[in-house]
Amino acid sequence: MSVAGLSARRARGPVRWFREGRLGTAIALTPFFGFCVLFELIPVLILLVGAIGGLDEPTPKYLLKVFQHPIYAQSVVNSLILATVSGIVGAVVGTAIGYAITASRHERIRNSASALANVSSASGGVGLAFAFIILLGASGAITIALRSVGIDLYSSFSLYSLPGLIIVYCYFQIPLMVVLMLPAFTALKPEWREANMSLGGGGRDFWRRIAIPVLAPAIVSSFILMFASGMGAYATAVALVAQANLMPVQISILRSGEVIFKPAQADAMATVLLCFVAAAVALHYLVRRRTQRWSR
Amino acid sequence: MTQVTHDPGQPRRRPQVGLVAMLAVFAALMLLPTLGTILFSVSEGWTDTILPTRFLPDYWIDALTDPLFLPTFTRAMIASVATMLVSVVLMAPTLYVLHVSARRLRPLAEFVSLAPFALPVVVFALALIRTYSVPPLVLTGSPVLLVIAYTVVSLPFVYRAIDNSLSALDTKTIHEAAQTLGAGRWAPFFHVVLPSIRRGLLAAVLLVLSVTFGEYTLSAFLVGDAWQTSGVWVYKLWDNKPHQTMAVGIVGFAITWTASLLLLAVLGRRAVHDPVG
Repeated sequence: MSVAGLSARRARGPVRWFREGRLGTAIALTPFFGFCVLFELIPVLILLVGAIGGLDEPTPKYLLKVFQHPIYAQSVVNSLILATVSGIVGAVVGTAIGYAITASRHERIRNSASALANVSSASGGVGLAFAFIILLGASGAITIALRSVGIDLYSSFSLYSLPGLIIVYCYFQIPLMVVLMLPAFTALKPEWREANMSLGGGGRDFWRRIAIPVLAPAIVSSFILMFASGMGAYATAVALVAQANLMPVQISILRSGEVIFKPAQADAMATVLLCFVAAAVALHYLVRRRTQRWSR
Repeated sequence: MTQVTHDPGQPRRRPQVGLVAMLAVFAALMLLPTLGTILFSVSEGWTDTILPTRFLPDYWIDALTDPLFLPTFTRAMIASVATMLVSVVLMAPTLYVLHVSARRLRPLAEFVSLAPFALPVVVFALALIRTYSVPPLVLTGSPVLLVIAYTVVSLPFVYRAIDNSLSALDTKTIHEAAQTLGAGRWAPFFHVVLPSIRRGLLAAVLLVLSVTFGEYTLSAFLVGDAWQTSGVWVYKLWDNKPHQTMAVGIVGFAITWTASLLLLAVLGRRAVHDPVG
């Protein structure tokens, strides 16, 4: 009875909210959005405020110093080189492997190769770095093997340098690229190959005019994602070279160093890294939207 | 790049030697670090020879009987399992409500769920330390903060897995049908939706396991030695006992690899044909 009476009066405000179940909806969504505000939004905001030296006397000097101080600036350059080169190698090799997997006629080969890529793409970190030290370190198995046939690897190479880090990073970049590219290759429809054939096109035309243009957004968006993962990777780098001059390692040194403790500088470095990675991930999503046009 | 390998019209049965060789080289190179790790964990010396001189199980025995082995691996497992529970309890009802009665909020929820992808782990760790090492809420050093951090970094994966399942299920229709039959808001969720998306939930928890188990960075920054997990222990062990480090490293890998392989089996080819999951 009272319900009918209420609806006759056209309930407003909270009452209408309640009747439409919106209050229930709001209550049900509170934990999730509250969680994100508490543990995503607020910590990042506090970090950003820290990077400008607090709200009382905001200053850009810490952010500028990231690019001016020789060591910090070098860490930015090193991180950019590492992420870009390992990303490019990952993109080229990963695309080739992704193609080989898709084109393989044997289902068993396809399945085991993609399983291997899936498993390896998550295997970066401390363990990978240690494995490389026993293989390619100064007294690693491969280093010694090469020395026994007269090649001194360490005359022109060191695992604990930027080229060494690039090789180790490729070990998670390449499988990541394969995993990202497999759906794109599957989206290349056999009908397009047929259409190309019946219009008189050859294999080269197929690649140049159909496959590459269709795959390009996937390759680019995957490269950008690998760049982001290379910029942010910390565990692999620090396990290989504890004092590596890379942005993530530099942040950790600035935070906890026994000699240097510069909270604002650590926040500024972290803010710059965040900007690089967030911009890359945003770009990744923008480019990937183009990819998805073809996958339906 | 090779020529076009086969065309549907007239299938050429040319042997794919180049292709198979390429994949074999890829597999060999990818497996090399793992092989080295396994060999190193059972070999003596191997510091100035190409191949190990003697194989022995001592390092394994030493590593597995280390007083820190069980506690650190147990803590890592507790953190991962707690993250699975928190993730599912937080995300399943949220996504259900977003699907049935708050569709307009879905883009916002998707944005905040995928945002952790754009947050480098070190940056996130630092941000949490800045925020939760000072009053009113001091959480650093506590496993609670570690589980919260793991939940945030797992959020993109968990969101995707559950959201895909709910989309494939046509959750809104189910909800409306249940309303017509006089059910409340949550009855269809518990009796119809949850059982139907169990494949997606399984994928979500396996993803959490493979992302968080034995993780180093967040563990080291947020709890460190106050609540040492396997990732931090393995890192420290390396300086004094490299062979033993490799042995426990393999144990850790085995757990995350199993998670990845189970995940493939769960999603596998069905992901293409049957998007539930």
